[in-house]
Amino acid sequence: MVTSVEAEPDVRPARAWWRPPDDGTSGGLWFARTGLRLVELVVDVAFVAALLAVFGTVLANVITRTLLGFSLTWSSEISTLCLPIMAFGGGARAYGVGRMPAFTGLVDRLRPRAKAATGAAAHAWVLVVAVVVAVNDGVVIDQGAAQRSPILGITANWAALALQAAMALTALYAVRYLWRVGRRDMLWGLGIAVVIGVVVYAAYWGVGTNASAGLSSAVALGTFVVAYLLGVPIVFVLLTSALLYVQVSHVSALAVVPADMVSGVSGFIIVAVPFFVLAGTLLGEAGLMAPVSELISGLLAKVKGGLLHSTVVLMYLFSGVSGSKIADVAAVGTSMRKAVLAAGYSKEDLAATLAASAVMGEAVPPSTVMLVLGSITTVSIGGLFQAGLLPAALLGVLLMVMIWLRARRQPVTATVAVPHGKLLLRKAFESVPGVVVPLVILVCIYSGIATPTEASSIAVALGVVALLVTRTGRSKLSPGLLLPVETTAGFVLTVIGSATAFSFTLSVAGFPNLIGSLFHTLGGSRWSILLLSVILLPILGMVLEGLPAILILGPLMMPIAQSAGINSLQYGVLLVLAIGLGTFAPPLGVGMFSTCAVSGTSVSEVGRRFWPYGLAIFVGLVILAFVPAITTVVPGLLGSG
Amino acid sequence: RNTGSSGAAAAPSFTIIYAGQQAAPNPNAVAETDFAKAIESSSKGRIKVQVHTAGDLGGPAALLTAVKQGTIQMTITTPQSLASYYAPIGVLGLPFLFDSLPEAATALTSPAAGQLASGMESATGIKVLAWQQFGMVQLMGRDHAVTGLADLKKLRVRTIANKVATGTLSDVGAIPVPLDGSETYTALQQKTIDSNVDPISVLYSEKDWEISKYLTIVNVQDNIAPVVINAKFFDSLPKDLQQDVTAAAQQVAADEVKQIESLDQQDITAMQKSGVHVNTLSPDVVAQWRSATTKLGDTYDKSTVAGLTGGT
Ligand code: NA
Ligand code: NA
Repeated sequence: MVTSVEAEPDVRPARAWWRPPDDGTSGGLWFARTGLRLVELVVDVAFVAALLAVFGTVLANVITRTLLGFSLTWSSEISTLCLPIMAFGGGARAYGVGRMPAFTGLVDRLRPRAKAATGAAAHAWVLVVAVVVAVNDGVVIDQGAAQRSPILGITANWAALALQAAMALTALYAVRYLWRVGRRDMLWGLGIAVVIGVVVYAAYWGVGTNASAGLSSAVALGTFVVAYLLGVPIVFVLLTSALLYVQVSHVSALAVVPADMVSGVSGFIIVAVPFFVLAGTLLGEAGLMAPVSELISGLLAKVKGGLLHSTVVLMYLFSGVSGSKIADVAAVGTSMRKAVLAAGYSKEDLAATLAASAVMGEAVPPSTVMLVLGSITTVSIGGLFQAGLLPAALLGVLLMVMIWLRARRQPVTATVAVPHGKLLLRKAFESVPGVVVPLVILVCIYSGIATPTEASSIAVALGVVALLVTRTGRSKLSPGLLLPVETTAGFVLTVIGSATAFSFTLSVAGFPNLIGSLFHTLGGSRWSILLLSVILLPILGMVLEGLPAILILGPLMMPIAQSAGINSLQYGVLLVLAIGLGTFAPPLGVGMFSTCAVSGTSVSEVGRRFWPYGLAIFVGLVILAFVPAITTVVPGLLGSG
Repeated sequence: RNTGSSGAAAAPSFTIIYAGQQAAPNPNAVAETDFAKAIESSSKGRIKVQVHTAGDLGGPAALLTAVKQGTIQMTITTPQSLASYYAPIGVLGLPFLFDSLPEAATALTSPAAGQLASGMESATGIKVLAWQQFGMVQLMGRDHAVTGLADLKKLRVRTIANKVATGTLSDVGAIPVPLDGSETYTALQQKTIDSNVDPISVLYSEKDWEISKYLTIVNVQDNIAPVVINAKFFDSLPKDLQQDVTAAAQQVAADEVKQIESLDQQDITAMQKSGVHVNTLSPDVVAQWRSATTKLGDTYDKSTVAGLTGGT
């Protein structure tokens, strides 16, 4: 339902931007708009400044340590201070441009009128949560004023200040959304939100103070489901449940939610998130992938399902570079689309292959989910990066077997010319940078030049170089590159923050013990834990969007697996892939929805084609569960070397 | 609810959320459970303790902030973390302040330590209930044993991001590399760093010994583990319960310190069995290292240092 009206070509004389236009727009509205744009400009500039500061110090630290023999001990402190600015500012901008992932599977099936009203209700919900978080963040700001960072002695509360500012901006955006849907839908939306609020409040009142953990969980869970189905962005669904649980159970104070959001994004390790997102964008714009895509497609042209095979191979190669699965899907999808469609496949075929390959890509290093898992558990990030290589390859092979089996039944004509002789050489030569860049990043990590976190800054440097030396790259160098980076990184980091608050309440509510005893009751042996994980984790990954699932289940499941004698790397990789399967599986997976949104397809059509691939991945997971060696052999070889 | 009911008033009950970073069988994690048992019994059920271990409620900084804000009640922390709120307590992180755990235990009962704690309490609202221990910090490296200060030159040593901790290394020509504990093993494996300084229990549980084969006993520093409580919450307890809480915490801490000492010895033996070479730095070299780092103490109150170290 697109209601926007195409603008008439603007033929009026240019006016100074600070003067209100005389086109009938009220002065108040004009000031609101201009004010909002100025605020956005400040947020964007702060994001860039923070990013540059962190980039500079992290890279300088690698250089001084390896070449000059001293380290910048304050470099991690700079990162810790700058991350919340990037996280919360970027998160608010993501909401403002409508890039905060939400479950829209139910809402999309409603009639236009009902859809508009539920949309308005979702935004009203965001408005309330943003205000509650901002207000309670005041306590965190007060308390943090007395705290100093250990080396530079900087006041520690500006992370909390950044959160408050971002929540205020989010509230403004919510008001703008409500304004834009028109008065009637706005009233409907507010009505729905008020009714839900009254029901929740009545439940709260009925439950009374100091409610039992069980009852409080029921209220929080019930609200979680309603908000999720209503299409409230996942970040605010998590925050709603956390706030409600704390309020109903009286186990803590509401300030714990903003405090945990801040501490969740203050770890040095997650600096890699914005860096890998930025590096992926820069390398994508530099056009390094196109020659690789042509080469592989050409080589596989004669194989049944050749172009779909190429898609899998490309996803394996490039899912390492970008920090965002959806960026991978978009980048590879765009480069393959023309050839795949020309060969007679549908865009739904391509989307299903992309979604399935994106699951595989979760285990290809450097992967954001592995980074996050490593940073919140005792599992080593470098170890996970090594461990993921073979399991991802196994899933890739299984996917290609499935593609081949299906292609035998539906013969498709190849239209891509198979390169020979000189042409093949030229293509291979042109592909070198595209293959070398991911390799350089891995070599930096495995040779000890840089930790995985630091390697992300090297990836950015490579991206900048690639962009400057390629002609296509230089022409694409523009401020327009910024917003996707800012919103993607901001969203991922904000999810980490809100999931930190959410898992605090889960822990306080005794959820870890519950899961622990469930796995214990159902047979605490290593095989039953592995098998149960392969079955249950995709379901949990589907309900909680991938990253929150990792954040919540990682610290919960890793100790259970370790105490059953399961190798941590094996379980870590299995966890990442199983949750990835859930994220990209129809009918609920957010990854599936994003893939369809990016490729302009419908979930039901793509979902139908996804199932055989989903089955192949599931088989792969079972193999990985029962053959630990596939995961542990590479770390074993590299570790001893 | 039921606030207006007639009849005998029910005994007021209090809930303490007690969260820490260590996982069992680390003595600091066991101590949390022991404290819970002790106080639930001595308070006859008027105090309930919800124990959280292994960082499941958040990292060290987050937990300390939560105690300060009163969103949780108790945690086990470090003087370095406390110093971000109250700089003077950072004195307890100075290198070579104590030579052994028993010496530290005695010093922490001194008036000087008491003044530090009460100064912090009035400035921050964070109250120290007892002093537990992570243990004496030692040096463990990959390529060679350290027998003299020359061996430390250009050695890339992982440490925490803290002026005193990095100064302790850079003052003798080593390169301090502040890294997250979870990155240490990989960094050693990939040769991003050469060594690590940590208490024995950490070196052992982190499996540094799989890669680092040279353990040097230096007693660089004592990693103290203050058990802290939100002062406002503590003051809200009836007097008898306040006494019960303090007594339980101190009894548990005394047991924990003994545990750490004997476990350190066990861990060293286990590491030796798996091929780790252990040497003790000679007193002369330790004295050189100590004198190279004396200026790190300049920012702290001289009389506090004297009070802690027996007035010398
Ligand atoms: Na990846
Ligand atoms: Na880790």
